[in-house]
Amino acid sequence: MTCRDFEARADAYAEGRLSPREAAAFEAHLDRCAACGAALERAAGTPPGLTALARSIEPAEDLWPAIRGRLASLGQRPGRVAVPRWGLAAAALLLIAFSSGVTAVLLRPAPRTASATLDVSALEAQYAAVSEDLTGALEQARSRLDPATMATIERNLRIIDTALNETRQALANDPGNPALGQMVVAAWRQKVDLLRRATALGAES
Amino acid sequence: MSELVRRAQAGDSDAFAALYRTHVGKVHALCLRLAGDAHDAADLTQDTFVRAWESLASFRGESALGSWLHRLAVNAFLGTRRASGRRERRIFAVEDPAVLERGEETAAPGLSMDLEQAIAGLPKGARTVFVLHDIEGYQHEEIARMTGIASGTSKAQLFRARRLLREALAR
Repeated sequence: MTCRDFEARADAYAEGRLSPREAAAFEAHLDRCAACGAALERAAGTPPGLTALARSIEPAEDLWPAIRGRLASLGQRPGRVAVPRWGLAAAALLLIAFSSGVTAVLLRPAPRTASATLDVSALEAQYAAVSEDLTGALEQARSRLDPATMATIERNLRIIDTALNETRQALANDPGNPALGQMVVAAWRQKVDLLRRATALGAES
Repeated sequence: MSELVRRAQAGDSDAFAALYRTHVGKVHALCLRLAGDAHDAADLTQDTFVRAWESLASFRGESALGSWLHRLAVNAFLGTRRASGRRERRIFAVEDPAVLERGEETAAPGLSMDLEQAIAGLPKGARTVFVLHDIEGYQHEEIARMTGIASGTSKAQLFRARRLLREALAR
């Protein structure tokens, strides 16, 4: 989309008259064109009355009794964000499953059908990119997480990485084995899932 | 860090109640504007303070407690928005531009000012970005990280929100 196209579509975008594809192109243009971003900022400044908005609005009814009831049902003191037991258990199970899985796959003849073949390289590239982003986000959240929690998360990540590397090595030794490819992808899925959960913990703390 | 916060961190629910009384108005105002609905805002406010209790010990006083609570409220809203089919259905209805024309009929209790009504009637994406940027002071890059949209989308949605609000207020 050119800057001229962008300008011509601004009113239609504001009024919701663009197709989803056109709206996405309009938004994407702003990611790479600072001049159009500035022009858009000038075209629609903050609405009048914004500074007069109430800073505080009390709820229509007292929410404390309901909150107190929910806190009582939690039955705990306020605490640092902790990794739930399932996290440790899941990682341990994952390692056991991978160790057993790799052994099982290596010990039996693997089916080699074209339909069962995954594009493991492409999937690995996608998972690696997501993993890198989430690792960066987790690093930013590090200071907000309890050190013991962070250590537990990192220990779990190392377990998954070990499983991933072992499975990847097994796939390198037997590249036509689709079951090994599926296990590599499953390991990435587990890693990204753990990173997502850990990042969410950090965002809430 | 205040004595009340220290006591609440130690498990003193009376101290936490006092913190709630101090901050509930501002937290609820944010929740009301983000949700655009009084009932959902009450739920969101409750969720925010429950989350605050759950993670209060990790609050180190590096920012003001009010700012920390606001961040929790935003996270609770974004999490709820992603998770709740009920909310998605309601927001889908708000996507109908005719909502802006129905005024009082769709205004939530407590949203008495024209601007508050117009904010509540914005499409969900535009309303979220407007509240976070123009009212809460977040930058587009921060909004993009929090909500999972591109920075350009945040800028475009802000433009849309401001234009729709000006049109609604001019009627």
